[in-house]
Amino acid sequence: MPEAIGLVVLLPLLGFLAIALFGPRMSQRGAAYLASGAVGLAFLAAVVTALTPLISSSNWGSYGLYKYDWTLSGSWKVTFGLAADPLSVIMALVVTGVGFLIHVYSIGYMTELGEDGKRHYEKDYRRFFAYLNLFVFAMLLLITADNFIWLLVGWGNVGLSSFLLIGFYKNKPSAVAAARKAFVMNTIGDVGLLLGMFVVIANTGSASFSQALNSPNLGGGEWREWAAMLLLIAAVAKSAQFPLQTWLPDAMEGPTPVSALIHAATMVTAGVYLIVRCHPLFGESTVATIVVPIIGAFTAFYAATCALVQTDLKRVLAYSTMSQLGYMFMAAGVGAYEAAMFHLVAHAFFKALLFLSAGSIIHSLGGEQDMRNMGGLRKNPATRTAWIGFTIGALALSGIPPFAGFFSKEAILGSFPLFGQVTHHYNPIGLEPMYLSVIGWVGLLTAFMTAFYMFRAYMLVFEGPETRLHPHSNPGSMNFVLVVLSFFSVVGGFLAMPGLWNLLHNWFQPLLKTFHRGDEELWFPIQTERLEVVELALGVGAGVAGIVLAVGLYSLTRQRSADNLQPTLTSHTEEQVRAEEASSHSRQGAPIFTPRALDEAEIRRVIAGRDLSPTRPEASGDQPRLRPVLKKRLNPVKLGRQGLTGFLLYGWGFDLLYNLLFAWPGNLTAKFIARFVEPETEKAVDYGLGGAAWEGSKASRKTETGLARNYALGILFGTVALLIYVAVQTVQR
Amino acid sequence: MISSILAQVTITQADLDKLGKVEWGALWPAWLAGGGVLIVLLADLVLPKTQRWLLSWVSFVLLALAAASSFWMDMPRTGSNATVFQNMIAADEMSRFLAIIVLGVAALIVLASPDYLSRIGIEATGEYYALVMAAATGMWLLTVAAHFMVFFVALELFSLALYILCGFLPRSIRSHESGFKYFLLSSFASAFLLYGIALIFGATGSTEYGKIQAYLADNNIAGNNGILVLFGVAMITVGFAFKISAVPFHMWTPDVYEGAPTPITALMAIGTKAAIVAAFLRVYPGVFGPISDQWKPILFVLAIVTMIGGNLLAVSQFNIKRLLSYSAVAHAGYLMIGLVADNTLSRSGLLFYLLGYTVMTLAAFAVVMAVEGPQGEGLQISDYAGLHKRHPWLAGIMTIALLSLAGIPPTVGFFGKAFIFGAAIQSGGWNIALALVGIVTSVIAAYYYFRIIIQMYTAQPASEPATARIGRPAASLGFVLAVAVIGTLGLGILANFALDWANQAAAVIGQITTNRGS
Repeated sequence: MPEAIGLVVLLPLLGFLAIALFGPRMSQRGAAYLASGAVGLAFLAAVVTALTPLISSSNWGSYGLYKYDWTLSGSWKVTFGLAADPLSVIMALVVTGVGFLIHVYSIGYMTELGEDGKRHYEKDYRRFFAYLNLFVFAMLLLITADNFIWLLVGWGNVGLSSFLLIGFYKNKPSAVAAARKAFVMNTIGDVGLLLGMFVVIANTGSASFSQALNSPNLGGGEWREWAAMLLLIAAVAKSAQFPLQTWLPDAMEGPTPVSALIHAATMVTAGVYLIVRCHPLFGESTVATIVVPIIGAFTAFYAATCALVQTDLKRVLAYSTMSQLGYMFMAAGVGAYEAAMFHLVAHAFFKALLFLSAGSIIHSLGGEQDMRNMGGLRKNPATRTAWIGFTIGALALSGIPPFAGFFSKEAILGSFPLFGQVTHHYNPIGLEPMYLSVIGWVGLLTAFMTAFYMFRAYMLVFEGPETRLHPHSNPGSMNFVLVVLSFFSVVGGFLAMPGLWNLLHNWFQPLLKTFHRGDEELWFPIQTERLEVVELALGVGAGVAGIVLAVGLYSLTRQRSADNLQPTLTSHTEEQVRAEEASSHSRQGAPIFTPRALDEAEIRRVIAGRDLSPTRPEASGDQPRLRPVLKKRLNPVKLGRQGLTGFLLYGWGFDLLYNLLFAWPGNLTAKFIARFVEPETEKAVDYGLGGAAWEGSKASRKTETGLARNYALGILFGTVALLIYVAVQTVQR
Repeated sequence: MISSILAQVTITQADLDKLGKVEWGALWPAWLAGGGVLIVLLADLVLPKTQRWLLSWVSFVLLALAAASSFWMDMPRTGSNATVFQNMIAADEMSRFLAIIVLGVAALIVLASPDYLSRIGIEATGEYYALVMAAATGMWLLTVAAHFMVFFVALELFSLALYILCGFLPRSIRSHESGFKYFLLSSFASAFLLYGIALIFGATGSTEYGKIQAYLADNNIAGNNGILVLFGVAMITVGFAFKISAVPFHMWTPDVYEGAPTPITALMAIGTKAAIVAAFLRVYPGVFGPISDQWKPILFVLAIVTMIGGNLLAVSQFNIKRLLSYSAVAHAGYLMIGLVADNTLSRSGLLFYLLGYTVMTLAAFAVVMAVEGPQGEGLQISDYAGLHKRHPWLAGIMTIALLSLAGIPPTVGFFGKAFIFGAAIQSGGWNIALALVGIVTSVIAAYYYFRIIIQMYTAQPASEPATARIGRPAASLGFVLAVAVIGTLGLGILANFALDWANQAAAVIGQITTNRGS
């Protein structure tokens, strides 16, 4: 029943409205159950929709369910409709499925262990669930829209709900700054989407995907390139790809379930979704077929290098997400849409698993996110489920068989011939096979680094000396979610077994036919004909090598203590910020340290190798956990290493660059306007227009005498004026 | 003797056929609402005091049935059958559209009244409901009139009822003032109107819309006849301009609206305006369609003066009812743009705007009713300070209504303005000036509408406001509020359904000559 897709979209909206409007009358737990139930039912509806091909094949792949014409501008109509096609349904399954699990997880996560040993709901518990439902609704709208207009509505709304959720801890300056940054970056993408949409609509006269994208009017010319590039801006901003990538690591200021849902599993994949959805546009655009894989490969590599040195557990995962999205872009760029979608689905499972395991650990450690303050958690019974979940997730991410990541990552790498050979589905308007092989090698190197940083994180968190913090156990609902996600991270890969079967290919079959040149399909199926043994071995080998190196480095050498000397960039919990504010209050005028307000001086300090970590308030309280400050001694090797670490830690200094390029001139202009232009304009508007209206009003008020005879005089006056007009008319004729 | 006379006047079947069939079924709303007047008056006599509350329900049900009856009555007709009762009543899609607006609003206002009346302390409820129903009957008849006699009788029918209703508050001197002023000035204007009708009759020899139109279309209006027609049009315009409260015929509006009981103010602001705009649509583009070059400049100037005057005067008001009454004046100006532009989009846009104006104004006045205190407190804008803390729902509804009145999307007010201004630009020429003035004055309007919103959400009440102890509105008033606010948002988001209907209804405008031959 494809019609069930309407229910999928509607239920989270109802949940949101119910909590938003009647929240204060609900109990905290009731609101949480309502929100989770709405998404859970939406998942069931999505399953019903997904069963469509089993029930009847006639409606499958149909656009324009719940059609509704919105006439706004003359004869041009916007036809709203929902799409129940393979692409939207598989996305809906992921969004509602993972979304439901994360809702359930949040019920436990958003509570705090109080002094009395009982759990207390965090402040604004209901608001959190309302936002989560709003997000799920917006995301579902985005993926089920069958036209650009509705896509834009969803697109903007996921940006909004992401903003609201990153800034959920509204008393935490760094969270608010991060939310703002994410919003600004995404707005750039929104503008790109808007303009790209305009190009498409202007050229094809339709906003609906089925008509606009396959319309011959778009042609092969310049406008197609423009449309593809503008839509690419949107995709890049939403999926945190270079050059609009800087917001994602900062977005980790939000609560961990938010990071898992929005900034790992669903919203950031919207860019990949957009490219796959608009594949008739992207696949035949010359520039896009060249630019998209390069952007993807570069981002994958870039983010992996940044993840190597992060000390904040969530930032490691954030950079990892960015890197994996880069893989998806690589695949989508060369036309391996199946592989991109496969990795998207698998990644949603194991990255959500990783985030939620990390969240479990952070939660049980009372908000600590710095990996160097963890350690030895493997043996602790309180974090056992998290350990299992994290290990499975890390193995999956590293591409170790038989976990899901292995299959999906190999599917992507398999689309890139490592030795420059021409593959069967090679898209001739794109990159030369030579360059594709370079990208393939970059992907392989990234896979190696991925395995390394994941197991560096693993070693720091679970192995080594035990932490001084005292982990407490988490609610069963959180552990249950971890188990479910672990299961899917293991079996998720069997959707497409290279050489054996390819369920995904059958699934996407209805879409496939929309995209071919001549007789040849330009949609890469995942290679099922034969196994590329060499490439397979290289792929797995990269992962294994990374793991071995990380484990070796952290168990055999003194790397762990070296890490402790490293400059840090760790988020504070809200309590820490509050404690700090309280303490800094006594020290008059002492600046409050906001880790994400990346001002220039701060970055210089870090690159120069000085420690940024301020006196941290104690979580355990018994011993000061100060980082030893580096001694000032000229040591070029050490200095170089510190410099490199700082460079990577701050994501190659892109924040600094963007500040110099955009924020600084913008600020100057704003200051100039505020100083010279605005006061005058304001005066002119205030005293000119506003004054005129007010004075005019006061003057005309004098006609309101309250005397009926004056009113009658007014009528008489009007009548006389009319009669004079008529008289003049008559005389003139 | 007598029998012989009777034999001479025996009415044959042929005579009956000549008269035409009497289409009783086309007047269901009038039977229900007009008959309801008698029912309620009788019931008021019969019922004991403790059962009087039934009256409001009886009149609500009758009015709601009257509105709904437009769907089953012997309407709408098209072509040569579009008028009934010897071409006195128009039975077309527009009649149905307007019956829903006029009678629907009357029904909702009746539903909202008991809460208000009991708070004010009025006991003579039987007359109140009877008069409201009489007014509603008159308004509906005005919308379907296809004959100047029906037109004038309908006008006077609802005017008379409204004079009494305006002065209905027994202990309020302002209410008496309101009723009396309305009566004096309205009579004054009616005299002009009647004189105009007489002049037109003199020139064309008929008071029937279709015949006048046919005459004007067939005969070149020159010479003495032409002078009569032009003076007639001018005089009729005075009457119309008074009722729609166009500047400078508007001065009665704030005083009357302020003094009248708030539900009656709402009825006047919505029902009267809808009815008179309907009559406008039938008379100007229809009856006077052949001489549109003569009246369009008049309405052009009236529209501009009304938009500027109404909005400017509203800026410095401190009483919410006065503010809303000036806002009603300003909206009359916007509505007149649609009459001057006079193309397909403007006609349907005008009907759509009327529908939107109905729901958003009803929402605003319903909130005023809910906030008003027993002695008429809570009517200053400063009394709305901090309303969102005391009554978050009321503040929210008021905000939506005001946003809609200011023309902010996605409310219905935005789309109404968009259609009307768009029509003005489409018709080109000087009419673009109308759109420009409309847009500039909308900006001024945003100022005074937002002032209320700011009061509700950010201002702190200086002291305990007089209306702080007013409880939640009764369920019936709550229902009215819900209908109005859902209409305001829903008609905006799903604008095309209403616009399609308005298109259908507007198709009949200017076409009443089709039955010329009958």
